Amino acid sequence: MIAGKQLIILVLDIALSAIVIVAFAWVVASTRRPTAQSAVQSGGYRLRRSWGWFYGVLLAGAFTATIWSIPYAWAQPAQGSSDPLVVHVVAHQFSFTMPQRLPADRLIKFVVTSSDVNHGFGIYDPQGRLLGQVQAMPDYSNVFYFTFRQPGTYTIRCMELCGVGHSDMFQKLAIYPTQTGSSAASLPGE
Amino acid sequence: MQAIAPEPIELHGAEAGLTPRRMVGIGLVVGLITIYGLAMIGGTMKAAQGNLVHLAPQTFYALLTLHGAGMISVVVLLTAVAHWYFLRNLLKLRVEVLLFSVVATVWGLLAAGAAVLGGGFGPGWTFLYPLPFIGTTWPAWSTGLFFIGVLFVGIGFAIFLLDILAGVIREYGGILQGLAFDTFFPKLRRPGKEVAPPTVIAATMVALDGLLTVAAGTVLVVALLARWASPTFPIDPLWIKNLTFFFGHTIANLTIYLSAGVIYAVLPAYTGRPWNTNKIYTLSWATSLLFVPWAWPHHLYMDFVQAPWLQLFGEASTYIATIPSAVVTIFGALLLVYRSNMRWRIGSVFFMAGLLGWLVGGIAAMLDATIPFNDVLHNTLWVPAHFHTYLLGGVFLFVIGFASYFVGEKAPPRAIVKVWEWLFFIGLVGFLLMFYAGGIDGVPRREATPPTPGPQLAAIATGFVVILLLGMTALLIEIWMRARRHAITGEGEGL
Ligand code: HEM
Ligand SMILES: [Cu+2]
Ligand SMILES: [Cu+2]
Repeated sequence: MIAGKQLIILVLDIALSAIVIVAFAWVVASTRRPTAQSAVQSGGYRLRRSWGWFYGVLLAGAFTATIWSIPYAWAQPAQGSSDPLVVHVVAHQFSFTMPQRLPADRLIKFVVTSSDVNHGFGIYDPQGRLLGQVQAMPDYSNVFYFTFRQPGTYTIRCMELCGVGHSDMFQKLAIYPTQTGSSAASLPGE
Repeated sequence: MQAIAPEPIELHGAEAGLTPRRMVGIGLVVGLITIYGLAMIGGTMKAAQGNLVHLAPQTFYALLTLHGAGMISVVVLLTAVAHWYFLRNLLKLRVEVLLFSVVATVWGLLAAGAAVLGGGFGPGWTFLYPLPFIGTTWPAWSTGLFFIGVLFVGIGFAIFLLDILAGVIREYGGILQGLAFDTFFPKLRRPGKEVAPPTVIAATMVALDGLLTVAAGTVLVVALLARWASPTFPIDPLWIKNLTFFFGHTIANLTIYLSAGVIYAVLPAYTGRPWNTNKIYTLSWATSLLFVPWAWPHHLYMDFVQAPWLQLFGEASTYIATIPSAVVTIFGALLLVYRSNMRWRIGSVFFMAGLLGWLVGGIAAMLDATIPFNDVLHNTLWVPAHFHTYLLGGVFLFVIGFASYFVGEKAPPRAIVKVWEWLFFIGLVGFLLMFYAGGIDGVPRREATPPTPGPQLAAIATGFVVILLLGMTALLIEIWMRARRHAITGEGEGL
């Protein structure tokens, strides 16, 4: 169920929160054997210095690690070269104008905009896992590269409050295997 | 024992006129009652998402808007009042100014409340352009009235901040001294004056960033009012989105920094230790001052047209803005408590729990503010999960802790209070876990009828909300009864 990025996020969140909770419990428990402030202050300051350096390096590392995997087109020049299939998406209150069938294993360049208010464009795989998203904004087009890895019935869902019908703004997207080549190919499970 | 005629009771602090203490008491009561009502609305929304009660979508979105806008305003009000309570011992502040701010906020809330409950205004508390104007289910008057209400809240906050800034300059000679830069440049220090305590440093930072935020909010709301009055008024959707989140993110974030000023003042009382500060605190608050206003771009990561440098700078600023909290304020609080003779009262329990909520919510916030994670977390329930962790599970706990401290808690609480605390915290944690579970499952936020597993999680969460509200009710009654008792015995704040 929980897999991919979501799993990484969950593990990181639980692990980091657990460390913090243990640290708090330890400090709270320590109040059962009180001592003078002068007895702990200088040790605390030394610990703060190490903790500060450690935290700073951690953040710098995290920042450096993440900028290599950001989803923007300008950050992924390789994608531009592989001849993507250009797909225009226009979001409205409360539906998307876009193809209902697209090929798997093909780089797709979604050009996403809106005819009225801000909407979202979220891609859920056949198991219901959110794989990625982009905003649909009036007057602007967001370019979003995406490759569907497995054929099947995906769901496109609005991810931004866009009015009274927001919860009804989703639709199916059929992803067909590329080997069969033609868009008339039948889908597994259809 | 013979019956004696009841004597007129001399109320403590009942001198004629508006004493600072009474003003703070009024602020607390008004704020907590409002929070109570808004929390019930929150529970109703959860119940609706869990299919336990039925709400028409337009009603759901109106309540969502009221809950969000109301909670943020009230929490700003409450943390501001609590911070003011300590600041007025350090700076010359006018109680009339606080009264004015509270009244302006209450008027603003009433206007916004009327727009929502009377008109059904419902584009969410961030009222992202052009949603207030296109495809609406509410009358135009409610749009205008809501924005006017927001203006009132902003005016109230701005007046409050200006008085603080003036107080800092009067007392310490300037803003740099308020930020304790005289620890680096002793020449700046006023002769005979001590370096500013951390409560004042926090106030100076909040005043500067807060005024910037209110200025941005005013531009935003005035632009929307212009568009409301004249539909051809040109507005750029990307620009206004940036402005909206600059305003919305920063105002919500500042409640934490207002709370920090309270924590600096209160924890020394519970631990019996002074909170020693040094140059690190100066650097730390200067970092917050500079970077907190730059964190907003993390709300626009999924707007791929946004300028690349803003996206990267937003991620970096968000990370940097956590350093002062993690390394200085929260670490400093733990160091103060470590092996201290901490007196455990409702106040100290809630302050410690609030610090934990601040950190745990912060961790979830940082994951969300990391660009490659944001594309599976943005606008999912992960967002309300993390901000309820540090607003409900952090800032609000500080408010309850402050209320208890304010009322006075020399004696340890009755044994039964442990039960209320357990109820409250079990309800709180369960409620938050359901939010996180929804977020990791990709359930979008702000859904009147969420996709699976949203309804199942919401139904469970509703149960936890009931437990939370039970504990909260009992605790607030406990504090209230203590206030009544102390009004007679004359016991004041603290321990
Ligand atoms: C018992 C207490 C509370 C309950 C039951 C509750 C419940 C909720 C629920 C169900 C939502 C909608 C989430 C969604 O599906 O998008 C929500 C949104 C929100 N809540 Fe709370 N909440 C509580 C306390 C608080 C507090 C203390 C604050 C702030 C200090 C707060 C601020 C917000 C904000 C800003 C939103 C977003 C509104 C929007 O999306 O426009 N809440 N809350
Ligand atoms: Cu939509
Ligand atoms: Cu929508």
